Amino acid sequence: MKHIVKRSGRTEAYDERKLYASIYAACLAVREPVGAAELVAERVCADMQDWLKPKSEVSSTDIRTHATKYLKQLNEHAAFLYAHHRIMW
Amino acid sequence: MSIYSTKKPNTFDFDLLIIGSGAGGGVAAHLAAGYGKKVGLVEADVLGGDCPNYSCIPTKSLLSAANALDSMKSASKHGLRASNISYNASSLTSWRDSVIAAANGSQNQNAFTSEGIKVIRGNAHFLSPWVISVGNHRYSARKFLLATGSSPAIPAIEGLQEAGYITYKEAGALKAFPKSIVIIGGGGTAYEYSQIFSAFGARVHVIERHTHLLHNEDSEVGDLAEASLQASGVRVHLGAKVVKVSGDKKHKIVAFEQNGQEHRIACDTIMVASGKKPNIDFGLENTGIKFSNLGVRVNSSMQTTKKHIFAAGDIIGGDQFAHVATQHARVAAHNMFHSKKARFNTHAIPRIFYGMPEIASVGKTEHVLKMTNVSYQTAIAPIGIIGRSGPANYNSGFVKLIATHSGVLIGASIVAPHAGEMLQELTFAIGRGVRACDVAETIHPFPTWSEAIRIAATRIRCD
Repeated sequence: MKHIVKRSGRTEAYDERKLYASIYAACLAVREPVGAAELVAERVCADMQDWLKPKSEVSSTDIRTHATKYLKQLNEHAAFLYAHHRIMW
Repeated sequence: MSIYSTKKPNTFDFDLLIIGSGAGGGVAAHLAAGYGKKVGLVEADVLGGDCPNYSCIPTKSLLSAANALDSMKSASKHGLRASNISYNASSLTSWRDSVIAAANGSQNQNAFTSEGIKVIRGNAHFLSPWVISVGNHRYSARKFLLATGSSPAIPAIEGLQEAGYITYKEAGALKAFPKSIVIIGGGGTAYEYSQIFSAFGARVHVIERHTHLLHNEDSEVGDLAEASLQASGVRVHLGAKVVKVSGDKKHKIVAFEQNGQEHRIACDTIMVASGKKPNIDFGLENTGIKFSNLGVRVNSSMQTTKKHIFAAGDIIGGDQFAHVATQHARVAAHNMFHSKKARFNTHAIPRIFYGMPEIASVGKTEHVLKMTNVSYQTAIAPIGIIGRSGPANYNSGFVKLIATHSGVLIGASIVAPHAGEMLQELTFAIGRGVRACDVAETIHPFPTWSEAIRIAATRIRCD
């Protein structure tokens, strides 16, 4: 089980659905079609899964930083939006 | 207190936590334990790091075997006869593995735990400047040493991922040698592995984008390295850029551009040897230190931009050698626990590329001095003029010295058998600001390769 350490110091289990939802929302906000937004969100979640594999605990900042990095490769505008809006965590 | 707090906690689990047990981390752990400090050492891979397990020791073992094979094949040059010369891949690789196991003996877990060092197995991840997470545990420390090393840098070439490739990590563990191989890159790793694969029967192509091999060295060094590889049957393509790779696990085609023309080479293996990138993906963002994809920023005390976090070895970038990592670690470990600071000096770092012949250099190179408009003088002594070259049947190398106008040595390059051993005299001289005439007046025994150093030194003018 992966854990996310929040800014307050509290920890919670990593929930991929929350990441998916915020990436998906960021994509839709920059007028990405629904199907494409789903694909992008799936791809970012898969990349994050690989990145998280050797780690047991990461901070919520890490999640945002790395998800932004992966999202930037797929949709730069959505990545900007995701990085600058506290949609999740 | 939240672990996110940047305030220094009141209590710590360790005086020093080291991330990475290689040439840097392992040395620092022993030194700090010797100072009576409570030390933790985190390692996710095998203890000892890259050098004994994946790079230095496997390569040198295979080069030594390749050398022996080459000596047997060229026995007729000495008036000897040798027949039925061959090798058995499984015997050879078993021997290599036994050398790696023996080299790692001093780095095994007992060597650390017997000194009171706690070895923590797993991937470290910083949660704050003072706390890391490893597995299901968190550890805090008064000081940290980042010594996670580097990984092979993989260029973005179309089709490379799909076709498959090896790096030095896989090459050093091969159980059988390829029949044909294309090596992408022309640095030290390519120089060493091209000779190994060629000696064991592979058709080898080296593709380098610069105009000479070992591009950080002076051009005559690269030219001689190229001539040496060509003589052993390696095809070298300089000023060439790989544009596409296609194929599958067994058969691959490498397409490259050279002088505006596209060429294709068929091979069964591709080796990527185009440099290394620092391992920085362990939550450094949460520490507040400055770093980039090129490495972690440190000062000459090996301190990062956070006072309690130090770094050593390949993670810093620059000269990525085990001996450099070790010296970084010595300086860092000293500075963590002593008020009188030590400094890491960069002006006399030895660089050695093993093979036939060995290539060794230290200090400044002429091409860097030309770019910086610094005045200097140089002298070259060809290896062929000294007494040792005849009996050894080798005469194509040289010793090149670079000195200031007053004759103080500032750089040297050697291409010769045992160049790595010869270099130490010059590393000491350059490190201590010795003049070339002082080296020239030192007795060098006859007939040794080092005589070439004395001869080159006599050709430098001292004011």
